[in-house]
Amino acid sequence: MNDDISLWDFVTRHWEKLLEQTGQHIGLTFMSISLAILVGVPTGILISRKRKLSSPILAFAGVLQTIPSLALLGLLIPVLGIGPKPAIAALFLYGLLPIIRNTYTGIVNINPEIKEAARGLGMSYKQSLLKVELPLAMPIIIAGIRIATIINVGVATLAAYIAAGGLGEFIFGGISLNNTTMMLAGAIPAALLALLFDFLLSRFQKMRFRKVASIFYIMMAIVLLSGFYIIPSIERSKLLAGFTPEFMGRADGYIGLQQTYGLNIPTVVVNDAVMYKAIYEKKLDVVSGYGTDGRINAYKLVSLEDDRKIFPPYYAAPIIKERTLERFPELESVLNLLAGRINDSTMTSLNYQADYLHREPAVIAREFLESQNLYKPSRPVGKSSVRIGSKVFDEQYILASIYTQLIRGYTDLNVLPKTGLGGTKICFDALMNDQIDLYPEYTGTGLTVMLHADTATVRRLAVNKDTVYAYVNRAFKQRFRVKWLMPVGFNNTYAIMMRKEDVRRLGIRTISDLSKYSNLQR
Amino acid sequence: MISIRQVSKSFGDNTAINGLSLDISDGEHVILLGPSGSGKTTLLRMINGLITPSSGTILINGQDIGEQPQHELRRQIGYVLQRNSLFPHYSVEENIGVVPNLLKWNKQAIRQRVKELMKKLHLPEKYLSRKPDELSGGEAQRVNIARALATDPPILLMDEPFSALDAIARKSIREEFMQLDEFQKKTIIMVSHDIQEAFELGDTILLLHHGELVQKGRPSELLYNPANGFVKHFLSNDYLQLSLAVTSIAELWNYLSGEGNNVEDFAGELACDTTVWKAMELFQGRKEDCQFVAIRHERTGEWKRVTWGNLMNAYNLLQYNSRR
Repeated sequence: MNDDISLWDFVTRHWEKLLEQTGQHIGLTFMSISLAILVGVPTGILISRKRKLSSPILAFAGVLQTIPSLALLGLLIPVLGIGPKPAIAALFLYGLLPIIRNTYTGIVNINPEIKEAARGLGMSYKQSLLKVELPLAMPIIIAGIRIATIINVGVATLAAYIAAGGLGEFIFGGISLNNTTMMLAGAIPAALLALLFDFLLSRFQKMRFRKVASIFYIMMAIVLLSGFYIIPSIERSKLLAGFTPEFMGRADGYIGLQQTYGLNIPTVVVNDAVMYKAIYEKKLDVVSGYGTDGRINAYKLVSLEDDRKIFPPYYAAPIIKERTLERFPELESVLNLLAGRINDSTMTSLNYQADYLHREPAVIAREFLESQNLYKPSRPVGKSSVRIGSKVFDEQYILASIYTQLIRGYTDLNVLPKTGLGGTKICFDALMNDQIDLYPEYTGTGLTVMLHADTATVRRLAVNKDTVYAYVNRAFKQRFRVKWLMPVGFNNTYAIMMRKEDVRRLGIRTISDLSKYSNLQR
Repeated sequence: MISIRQVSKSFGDNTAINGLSLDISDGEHVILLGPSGSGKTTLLRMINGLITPSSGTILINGQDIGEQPQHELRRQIGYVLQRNSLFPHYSVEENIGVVPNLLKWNKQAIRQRVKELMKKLHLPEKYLSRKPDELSGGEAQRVNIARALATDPPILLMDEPFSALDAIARKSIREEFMQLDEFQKKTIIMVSHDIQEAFELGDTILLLHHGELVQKGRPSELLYNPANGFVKHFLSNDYLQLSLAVTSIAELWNYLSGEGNNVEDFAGELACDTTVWKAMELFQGRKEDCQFVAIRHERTGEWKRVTWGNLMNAYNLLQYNSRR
């Protein structure tokens, strides 16, 4: 894609942020691995002594390993909240298996003659362990620690989803913002970190046990001491904002808030799936949401007024490649059946059914189409098929389902759903690389993310929803040979949200009020 | 003194040792012989508490070994294992110094003792810092013996210490070991499956079968007065060689004819308490051109200058007459 600046420029411009993220990344990995060693090595020793325990404990650690990383983070949030605590806990659990298993294997596989010699010469259990078994098993134990460390450097990028920082902020920001440079600015240091840690640990493998043991004790001391500082690191006396990686990097997002409103507020990066729950549970006070999100009412949130108009209109419309339309001209009229049918409140209520009541998007879609008298049963399918994509949030799933049912009811085309594509960049890249044929996009996103429109252009166009639509449609045709079909009707604008009670208590109504309040706090 | 009283040991349904009782006196060299599965290694390992008897007691100097901390008991008893059981991450010096270290000797004393033992066992001092994987099999086993002797324990347990070595290394290490003063003054209990080795090293042979003691006695007693058919059968393959190894030249002195009195012209010199087998080995190693060996009778001071033929004749006459 056309990245405006080179990687070097990006790094020099954002080096402070990069250093901070790298520091957080190292901290998360170091803490979690140290804890995993602290628990894993003794557990490995225990099951090498009591062999009966080995199968259940190894199986349990193996099961932990198979839980998808995001799911594990999600499971830990109700218990540990957001921030470094659940991230370290999840990484700790991931590190356990290789360390336990290698400690166990290392000790069990020592030549029995040597173990017998240790006993026969009069070593106590403890002496045999410390003088013979652990030193001989050490290369294998360290190999386990190396594996765990490399896994955790990788998984720690996901910590960005739950406000624990780390290099994932750039990586996921880059993915959602269609910004390869930003992605690489996070991914390259992460890869280098993995290599560096692996190299350092390989040095340990060759050292004598006594030295390694003393380094190990020092490390444990550092962890125990730093535990007191790292864990409560997010201050809670002031208001705390949590923004998605995408919002953090968008001109019509955090950057706009800083430039236009002069907003200066402690901020963490957090995944939108976690964000609403976190603000509801008072882990966060200010979040970036979407105007039509179904959870706004459910979680008693209020959108602040965008009094200086930094958010352009985000009218949803399907975008489709012109080549696809040439092959299947009937698609245009079918997809346009939905034009203007869903207003803000309808979309919010559809989202509510999915976000909060956890109903199936396909069921919601069918009920909606029936209520609009648009539903037709599926026709027998012909040979051709179209692929519908969606981003990874409920509104997109619902729209994708509605389009699927319309196409199946009104044409002979088969539909292959390719839903749940990570972010704007992944979705749009999939469209350009002919992996999907169409997906629902928002005019404001097209304007700022794909077309990289500058602030002045955004402000000029943002006055009117139709001018934005006309602008993106024209520009997309020229640049990408992609057509914007008719907008569905609702405006899913970005919104800055706070809890109702806070808004009332602090007298904040607009984003300007929030900015004023947070500046007073400092 | 080691007393074994009514000791039995079962592993599941398998009885390894069945109601065994015996005494071993101080300084006695006892060899445990028997076919595989006869319980000899189990018996050895019960003496230093590596295996706990299912019933019965083992006393060392009147004290029940089950009533003392096992690792402290084991530090008082030297232990040499079958195969290469040196600690691979320790140098030769650290390996030999393991038990003194456990007993918290000071560093100076440990180093001195290690050097002393290395000298006795013909290990060059430059080996101090070598790792076990840099040693030959014979060298490693010498270090292994040195490790067991480090604190000069009164009792030495050996579990087939020479079996993993090739024939030549085995013989030379065995002979070196027999010449150590440590060997002379210690109570030694050794498991062996090599009958000739047993006859060479042992004062007393314990022959075990199915976990029971079949016969206990001097080598010649086992050979000439076997307790039953099993003992006879067990020794039958090596009968001639064993017999040569238990017969001393003094026993056939009267049948031995000398060849002249030239006391200059002989290949070697022997005392008459050596065994016939040893004398034959000397013939094997003699110079091509000389067929004579001089033998001296300690009590009378008489000399005989004999050939291989003289020796064989005398042995045959002794056998013939004793059988009649």
